[in-house]
Amino acid sequence: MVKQVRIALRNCGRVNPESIEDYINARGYEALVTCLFDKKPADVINIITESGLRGRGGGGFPTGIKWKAAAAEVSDEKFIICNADEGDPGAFMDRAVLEGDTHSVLEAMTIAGYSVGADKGIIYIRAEYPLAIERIKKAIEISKEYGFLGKNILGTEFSFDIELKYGAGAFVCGEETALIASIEGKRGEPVVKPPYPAQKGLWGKPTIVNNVETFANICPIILNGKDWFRSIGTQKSPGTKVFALAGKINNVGLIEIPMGMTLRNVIDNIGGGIRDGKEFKAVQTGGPSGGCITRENLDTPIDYDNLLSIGSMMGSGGMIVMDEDDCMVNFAKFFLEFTIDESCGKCAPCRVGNKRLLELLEKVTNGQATEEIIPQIEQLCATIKKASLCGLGQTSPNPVLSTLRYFRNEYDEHIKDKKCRSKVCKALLKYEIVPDKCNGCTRCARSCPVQCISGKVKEVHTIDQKACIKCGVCYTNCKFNAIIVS
Amino acid sequence: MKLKSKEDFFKLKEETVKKRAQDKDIKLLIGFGTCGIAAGAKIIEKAIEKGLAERNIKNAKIVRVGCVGYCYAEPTIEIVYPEGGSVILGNIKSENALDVIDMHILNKSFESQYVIPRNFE
Amino acid sequence: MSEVTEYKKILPEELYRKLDSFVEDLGIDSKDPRKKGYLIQVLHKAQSLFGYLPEEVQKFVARKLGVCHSEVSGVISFYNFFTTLPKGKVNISICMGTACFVRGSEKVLKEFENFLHIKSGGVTSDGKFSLDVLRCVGACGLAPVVMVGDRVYGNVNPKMVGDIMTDCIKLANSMEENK
Ligand SMILES: Cc1cc2nc3c(=O)[nH]c(=O)nc-3n(C[C@H](O)[C@H](O)[C@H](O)COP(=O)(O)O)c2cc1C
Ligand code: SF4
Ligand code: SF4
Ligand code: SF4
Ligand code: FES
Repeated sequence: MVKQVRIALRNCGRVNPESIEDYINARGYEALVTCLFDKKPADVINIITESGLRGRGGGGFPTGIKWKAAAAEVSDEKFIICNADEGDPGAFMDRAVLEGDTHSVLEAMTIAGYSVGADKGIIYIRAEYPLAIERIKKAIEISKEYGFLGKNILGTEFSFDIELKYGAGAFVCGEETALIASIEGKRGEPVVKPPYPAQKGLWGKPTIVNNVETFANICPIILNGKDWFRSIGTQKSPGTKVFALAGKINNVGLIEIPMGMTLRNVIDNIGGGIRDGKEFKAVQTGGPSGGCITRENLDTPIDYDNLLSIGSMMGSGGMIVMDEDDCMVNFAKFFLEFTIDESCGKCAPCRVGNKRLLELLEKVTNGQATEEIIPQIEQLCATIKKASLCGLGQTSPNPVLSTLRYFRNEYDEHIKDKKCRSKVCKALLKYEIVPDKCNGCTRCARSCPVQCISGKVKEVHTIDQKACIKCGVCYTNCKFNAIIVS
Repeated sequence: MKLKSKEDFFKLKEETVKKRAQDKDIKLLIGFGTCGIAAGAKIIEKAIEKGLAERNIKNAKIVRVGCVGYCYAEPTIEIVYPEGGSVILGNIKSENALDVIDMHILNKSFESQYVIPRNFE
Repeated sequence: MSEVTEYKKILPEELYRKLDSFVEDLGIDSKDPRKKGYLIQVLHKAQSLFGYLPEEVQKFVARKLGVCHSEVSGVISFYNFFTTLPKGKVNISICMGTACFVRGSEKVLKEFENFLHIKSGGVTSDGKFSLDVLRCVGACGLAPVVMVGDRVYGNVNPKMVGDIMTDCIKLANSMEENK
């Protein structure tokens, strides 16, 4: 069994994040000192490039190459932005790092500033993370007192400051160009790339946007070297990835695994198996942009490229486990509703297309669909993917496509047999009273909100199927298990 | 205390590391991330403080740390012994405080009903 | 402050003064082409003071930062966090993030809706309680999660809704008394 390896989370749970002494005791700020005094900016960028570190915010773009591009720009001003918007609902890796090891992110941003020649850093953080915000503020203040931030850091010519900017509950603002628009005080609408932020970013200046976890990997790479980093993980995806393991799993929590570990190991060993002894169905990675990993791919080594090839994606690290009680069509619908809520509305394929797509899925879960609906869904997905302006729209059909690919049988059952095997899609359920078990206690009849259950006291009751609104109240209320759902 | 050179930094670092190495207290690391606090970390901290005073224990110190990753078992306490080794305890309630102190601080036991399996080194 | 008294204000002057001094402390240069970068920060502050961002507050902020009102309202309508309608004294938020969703937060929401006789996004007629959904507070380990003010309730099931509401009612009453 391959164990967890902690790089980004190395200090989480070990140090008091509000104590700079704790951090220094754990080799904190040593990487910054090494860079400032012993390395030229280009050397630092080379180490990061050669380490093979790829962005942990989802895209997996090589971090060193991004830094190099920004370093090459000539400008009076450059910016380092830390993307702490963590929009994937059900993921909390970045929050944990910021709350648990605040200084390491500040230190890494400062190193990035030194490497590309920026003197200003911004942490763009969701307003929903008050504790992280408070700790960052404290950490910035104390770092300034010690001279790790501010003017002439540690007596050198290099100056760097970090300030906080707050999100306001818009998922699309995690996308880097939208994020920049948001910092500029505008509606967070993405713009077409290129130009990339590394050339023209915040206020039109060269800007680096990196994810929190990406930054959390920088100091260990500087301290331990590129070869050490490359010795962990796989050839194309060196290092580790932090995942927020949640859903129907026993050991819900934060894990950091070397790239290349199998999902089976994650679920069975680290995660302690599925809750309540239920049957594993799938894992969703990549949130609303991602897809599911099913039993047949349990032994696929997890890295950027493998996940893409099986129709999912690494994403930022949300890992939601589903069991037999989850309906995959309904699950795809859930993400689509999310996308529609969060679409910025700038382009029609995403704004209108996803609404149409949701209507089609609703037909499936309502039992109104016929077989022609599948090709319609597939075609619409393809259009949305191709014609949308930004990553949100381009990836929004992924949950639908991926569930169609691996759970076609569930779609078919909804469409042809008008059945939902997980008993989630209400319109397809049927509540019935088993005559042999019903003793006529009248409890169900009294609790039915539409009074569609009839029967005399001590006689078998019956449900008027036409009037039943499938609320399930009778089912929960019957003490004799006389009501069944199918 | 502004550091003005590489030498300043390494001097401070050396002092810090030395001070820490001399610190022979037992550490109680309580998870103070959002999950931990939501699950009651602050209440646990109070109960432990009270318990330590009640047992008149002077060589144990509470440290507030971030999320350790065992969200399923919050609130968690990791007890780290100065001579080496540690145990992770989960699902602690305030009424368990004295129990935890007796078993894991006075007796330094590595086993109890509170211990949860460690899933990383 | 004379420039801000031209339009009708029904919200407490006291709060406007607080907002005013918050903006003053930012030390924004009115000629700074980047001054709009402060807008979201100021709106966050305004919402925390007033509880919501009605037109009179929007206009105040627009004047204060020297940007036009349509830009301010455009930004407010874009971000889910900002609201132009007042919430209840006690706001109850149900997490509808993925982790909470697969652990049954829909049922919890339904139960609250039934209890309060309002839909998500609504306010009770006495103005005491409001109900809304949010996307992940980062406590997914405790899913499903319900937030009341700063307080986080974890591992919530529909049966716990009554107990949580008892707390909420107490909270609402204590807020009345403090007034
Ligand atoms: C719709 C959308 C949402 C995104 N949300 C996030 C996010 O919450 N956090 C994040 O770090 N990156 C997010 N990204 C990716 C960013 O655009 C960007 O690639 C990333 O911050 C770059 O950092 P990295 O190279 O360190 O991963 C999102 C992208 C899209 C298209
Ligand atoms: S794809 Fe969607 S989120 Fe992206 S720009 Fe278009 S409408 Fe906005
Ligand atoms: S509650 Fe159950 S036993 Fe009682 S009348 Fe209804 S079905 Fe029959
Ligand atoms: S499911 Fe609801 S509406 Fe239908 S019979 Fe039962 S209680 Fe009545
Ligand atoms: S999904 Fe509800 S707290 Fe994260």
